[in-house]
Amino acid sequence: VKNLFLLLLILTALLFASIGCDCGDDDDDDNDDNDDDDDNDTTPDDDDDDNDDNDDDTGPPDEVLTAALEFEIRKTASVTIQRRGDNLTASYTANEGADLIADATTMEGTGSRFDFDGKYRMYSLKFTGPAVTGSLCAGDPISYSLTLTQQPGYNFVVGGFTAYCGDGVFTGKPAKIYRVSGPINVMEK
Amino acid sequence: MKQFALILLICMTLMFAQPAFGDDIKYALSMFHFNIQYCAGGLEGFVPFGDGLPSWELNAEETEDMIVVESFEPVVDLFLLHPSWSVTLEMQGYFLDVLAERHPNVLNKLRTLANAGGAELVSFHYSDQLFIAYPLEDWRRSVELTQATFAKHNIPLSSTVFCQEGQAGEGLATVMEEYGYYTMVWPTNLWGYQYGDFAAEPYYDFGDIKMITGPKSVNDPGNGVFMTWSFLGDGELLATNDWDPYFPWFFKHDLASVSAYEDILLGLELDNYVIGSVEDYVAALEDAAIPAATPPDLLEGTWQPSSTDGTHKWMGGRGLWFNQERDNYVRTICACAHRELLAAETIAAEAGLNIETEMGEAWRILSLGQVTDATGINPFRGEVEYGISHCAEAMRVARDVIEQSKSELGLTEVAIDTLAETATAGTAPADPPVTSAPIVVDIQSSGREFTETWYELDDDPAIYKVEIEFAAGDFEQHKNLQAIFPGTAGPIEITQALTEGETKLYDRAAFQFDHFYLPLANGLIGLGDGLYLIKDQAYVHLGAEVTPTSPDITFRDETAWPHQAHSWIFYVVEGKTAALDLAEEINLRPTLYR
Repeated sequence: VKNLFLLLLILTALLFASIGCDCGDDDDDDNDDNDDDDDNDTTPDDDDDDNDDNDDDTGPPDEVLTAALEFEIRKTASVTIQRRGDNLTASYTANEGADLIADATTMEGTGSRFDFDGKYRMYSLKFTGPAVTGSLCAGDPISYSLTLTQQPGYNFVVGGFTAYCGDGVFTGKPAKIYRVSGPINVMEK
Repeated sequence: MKQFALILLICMTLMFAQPAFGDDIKYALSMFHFNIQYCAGGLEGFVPFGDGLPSWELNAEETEDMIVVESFEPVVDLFLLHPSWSVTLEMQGYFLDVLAERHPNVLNKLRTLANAGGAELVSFHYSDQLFIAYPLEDWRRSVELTQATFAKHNIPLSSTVFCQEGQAGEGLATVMEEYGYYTMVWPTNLWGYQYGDFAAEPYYDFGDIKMITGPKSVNDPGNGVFMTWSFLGDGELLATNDWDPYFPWFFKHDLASVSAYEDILLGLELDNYVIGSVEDYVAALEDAAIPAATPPDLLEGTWQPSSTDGTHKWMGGRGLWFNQERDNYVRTICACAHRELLAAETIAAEAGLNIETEMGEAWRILSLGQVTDATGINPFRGEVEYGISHCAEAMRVARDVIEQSKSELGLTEVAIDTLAETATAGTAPADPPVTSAPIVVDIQSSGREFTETWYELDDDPAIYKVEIEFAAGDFEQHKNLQAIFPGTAGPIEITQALTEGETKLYDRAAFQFDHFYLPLANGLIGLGDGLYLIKDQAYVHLGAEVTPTSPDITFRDETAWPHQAHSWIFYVVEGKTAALDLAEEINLRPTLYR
């Protein structure tokens, strides 16, 4: 009964807070929920660019995407992705640090975009950051795997930011899997 | 001589009557279900006020530590004080890894207690995952890891089975035996929800092994068996005065709570109850040649079906934080990850790559991602994203292996057949021809626009595919999506969780519930009259609603994000053999084109 009472109290507050939550919003800051133009999102049509001559890292990108991410819900990060075909280069900034991420760190990385069953898409990127004193990785640099899943047509990504101890280490037991999510938009095309 | 014969007769009579008079079997059992993923991913972000309440903002490790210190260790300590008692502690294998990493002293205590016979340790899965909703292969990797984890930490593992959320199913019997388990503890409510209240027998046959019900007590003077449960539930609550870990301010070790429970056990002991383990209780029954009863046909599910609608709460049903839930997104992503992991192992074998270490870890991460709490009962955003982040990372590891293998094989486009275990050059086949609907599906979209497209894959036997596309919506009401497939009168027919290649029929009219949601681990359910329905778990992994009165099958998602389009794919198949084969090809061992 005690649990129930307190739970109800908090739930009421949470309910009101969550009604205003924009978790499911497209965050395109316009008045149209499903307009691909204004959303600047990635539609299946973007794949047209995949087979052109720009599928390398040298030419201008097919598009530049940016995602404003909430990191472990309370913190923030951002990633800017240059896409050439399915090849990606990216810059990731952790605005606040965490137990395995140094404060205000910006990292450059590469990766790929791929589709998988269920009409899902993933942006997979890899970064290496500096050692974090006192962390599980001790004095070693830390490698990060960023996985952003998305259903094309909806400009919202959700996934993980996984830390591995060591430089260029992306397999084996992770030191930690952080959660990230937020709107993703095409900035240039 | 006559006197001697009479004495002998009396002695023999007494001997055979012993269980009913002299040596009653009296056990007080317990089942402390501990879940180190009680708040999967921690409590950061749980309280929505700005940056939250600092002392409530516990990360994953802090939350896990709190569970160990405030609730688990006090129970272990209690039983260390009473060497003649035995407690049953259920936990995922991951729990032991947490103890080894950050609480070695507690792990030592647990080992001491278990080796002295003071604790029976139960574990059937490495993570507290919704294993009855996923392919057998995922559970195999999980149970093998949990058994290896117990061995690694030198902790004896019991042959008793109890599971996260009380998951239970008849299909567990065969694999339990295969992996050395012997006694299933079947949740009383999962039985009662299906057939009403019942008087528990001492134990039951469960395939070739045994089953008892809990927390249903046994009062069987005829056989001289008296069994009661001193505790069955979330172990976290006993030592904390019923507070759970979502309330860290109050989730504190409470001496009085532990003392009160100790008094109960002392009382039972005075009443000649053995404070014992499930293993010992069942062994005592078998030693006394107590006959095992036969249970009715029981549908698989969880321990509180009346409040969770079977598995609905984890597979489409909304909870308190419905704005944050995405059941189908979580469950389908994890189903996709299953496919990628199998494909990675298949193509790596073809390429001759040694990927045992990375793939072993990927399966571990997948089991964590399949955690029940990512979609139910009342998951908040942190738990939802815990599921997605883990399954996404498992998939990423698999994709890296696939790309590495393709490079090794010199292939740019490959067909990876995980059933035939081959990887050859190939591209995805063209879409089959569009056709008219062979059956009428009742689709309810709460105002969203939708399309329904049927494809004919084969005509002998007939195989159809239907794709239901729900357009993005505008309002919260658009969270509700539903498709009802028409059935014809007859029994409920499913492939049970942790089985493959067969179906079981259940007499629909025998059940007392109004409705019930089934997980469909291979995606298959009968529509009656030789027709079968298969959900493609990459697109739609919702519970299937059945009722005693109607043969129709309903899939309902109350957590579909309104601004997002959703695509569901089902197959309708004629004939059981073809349906089982297709379910395997779609959901268990598919061919992926990468």
